[in-house]
Amino acid sequence: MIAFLRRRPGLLPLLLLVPAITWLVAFYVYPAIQMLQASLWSGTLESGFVFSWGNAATYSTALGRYSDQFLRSILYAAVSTVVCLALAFPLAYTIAYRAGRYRTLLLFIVIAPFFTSFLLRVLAWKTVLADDGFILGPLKAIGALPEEFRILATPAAVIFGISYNFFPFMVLPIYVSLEKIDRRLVEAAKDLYAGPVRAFQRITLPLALPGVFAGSLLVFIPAMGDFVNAELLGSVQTRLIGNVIQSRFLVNNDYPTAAALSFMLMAGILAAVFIYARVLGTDELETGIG
Amino acid sequence: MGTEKSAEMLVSRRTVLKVGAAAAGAAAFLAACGTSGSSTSPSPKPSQSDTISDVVNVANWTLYIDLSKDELTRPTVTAFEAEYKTKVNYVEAINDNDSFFGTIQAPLKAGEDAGWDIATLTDWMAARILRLGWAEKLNKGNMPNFTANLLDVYKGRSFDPNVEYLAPWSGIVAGIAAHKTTAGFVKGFKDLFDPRLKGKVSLLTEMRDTIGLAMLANGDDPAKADRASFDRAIALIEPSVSDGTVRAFTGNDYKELIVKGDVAACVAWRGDTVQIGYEDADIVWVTPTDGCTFSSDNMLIPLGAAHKYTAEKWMDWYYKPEIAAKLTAYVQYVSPVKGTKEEIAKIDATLASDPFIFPDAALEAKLHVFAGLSEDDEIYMNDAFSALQGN
Repeated sequence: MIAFLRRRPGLLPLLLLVPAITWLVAFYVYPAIQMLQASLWSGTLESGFVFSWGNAATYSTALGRYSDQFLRSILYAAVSTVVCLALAFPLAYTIAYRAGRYRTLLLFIVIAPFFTSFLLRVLAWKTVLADDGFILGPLKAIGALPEEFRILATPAAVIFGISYNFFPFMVLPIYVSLEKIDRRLVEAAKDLYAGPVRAFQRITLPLALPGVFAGSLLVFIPAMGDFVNAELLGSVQTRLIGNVIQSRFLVNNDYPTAAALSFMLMAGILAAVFIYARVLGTDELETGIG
Repeated sequence: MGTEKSAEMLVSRRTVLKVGAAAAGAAAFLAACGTSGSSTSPSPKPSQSDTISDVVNVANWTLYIDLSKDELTRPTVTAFEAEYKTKVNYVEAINDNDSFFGTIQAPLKAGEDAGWDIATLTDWMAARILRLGWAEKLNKGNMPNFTANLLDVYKGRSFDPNVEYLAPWSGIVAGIAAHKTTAGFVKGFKDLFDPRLKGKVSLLTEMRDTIGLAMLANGDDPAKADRASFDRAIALIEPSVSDGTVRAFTGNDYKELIVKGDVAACVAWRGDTVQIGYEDADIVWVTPTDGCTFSSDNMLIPLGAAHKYTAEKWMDWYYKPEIAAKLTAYVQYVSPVKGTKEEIAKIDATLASDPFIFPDAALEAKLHVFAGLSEDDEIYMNDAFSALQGN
């Protein structure tokens, strides 16, 4: 085997790719093909589903009917990404450059929520933020908040939930890219009479962009498909496309619409990522995607 | 405090199940997609030996089983385990019919064991499972108590005329649960939409209960439900959903909302409300002035279940009047078992005369069963009802 590879060194990278490709085919390509097939079914659960290319109209019907939920998903995911970025960058900066011996502890605190199940964390917020819970209850009692004030079942609660849950995915990549920046570059900038702000603008920020880019994708993509936060923290007015897909699949047994919506969600995310890569993407990512 | 804490834990587990079930269902869908696009009825497995298995897997709703004082054990389940030397894996896996169906339909469609020996489903969903041919026929030779003690009113139901597949678990009355202090004025379904309750109302995702009550409020008869009366019911509810009066649509998990105070009044099941009252005496049952909806939950054995014989024994167990009485005294749903009334009188004489457990003529006049629906009408109504919920 090794002798064979010595003679044909070009095969080695291919061989190394085999596990990843097998994984992708089994768990992504194959289900995606099935999903495509299901999106072109017509019929009902009891009478059976029949495949036909002529059912492509399902896509336009579904898009028309659920455009609100699609737009809301994009909006909530975008706002959550910005919120995460605004909070994560200063935190990652502090951990990378100012935390000293507390660095490991702070990193541990960032990932600590992962030791608890995602669902339990969301449910915990449901208790914490309850209308008469231990935060809002006392504030209402002293008259600081009106009696009808609430956080749960509002868009803010859903965006908060998404931001909270995906926050570590923003912090860690930014931390990694900040941490590997050669600080001598900043010193050099200062030697050339750049002030701290200018040094940050010209050196630190551009070099941290790959982290910002990766973090934004890691937050935005799962946020687009989220339905747990909207289901548990939101209301009828905050339903996201993930909720619709869940309900179409499991409540209405409307597999074609659910599959078509899933496909459009994937396509939408790909398009968004592509545009983002074009606008902000660093050289390496651009050549990778574009 | 101890009880409060364990109740909180139960609540969390229930909601975890709800969302977890959705995820599992989606995965199961993916797994089963490739099998076939049509609904074929798989052939049942060869009959199993008539021996008690090591375990029996029971899926039921929350607030549907008797609990000991410390809420740590379920006395009638423990007694079954002792009697038959088996282990009951009793899981409160059902939060609403649709989401549970989503989790079992893929394996059943593929002709595989869905993992449950007993599933407890409401009439219309049980009827769907029977139409699809996804339930095991009961061997009533193994079920002497069931044969002797099933109340006559459950015999000859259109979806199981000869009682070959379904063993009713209980009858369910749906109406309203309300906080005495904040929603004491609620007397009927329309009162739920009072501006004073803005953002403090929840309705059930169970279409036949929520829409049934709305139909009654509109003066329509749910037993004659058609698209026109359905549309009128949606029109009654819709404005209050749009303006945020209705905070949520829930399955069994409304319990959590009303106990925490996030909801002041909601569409609820009567037995649940009595049990919630054990925890918080401020929460009371309201029989809506326009009437209640009535349905039943039925035990069935999903096709290909691994432990059919033990499952039949489980069903039969709850048809012993003394066991049915213990269960009913706790959960306070309508018992389908003959002789329960006499047995329950030994536990608590007031329960024997409670019309919500043993309906009298006055209450029966207020109970309304939702019409059986064609698949077309069901799809039409489910679709509009989903849209009402933002889906």
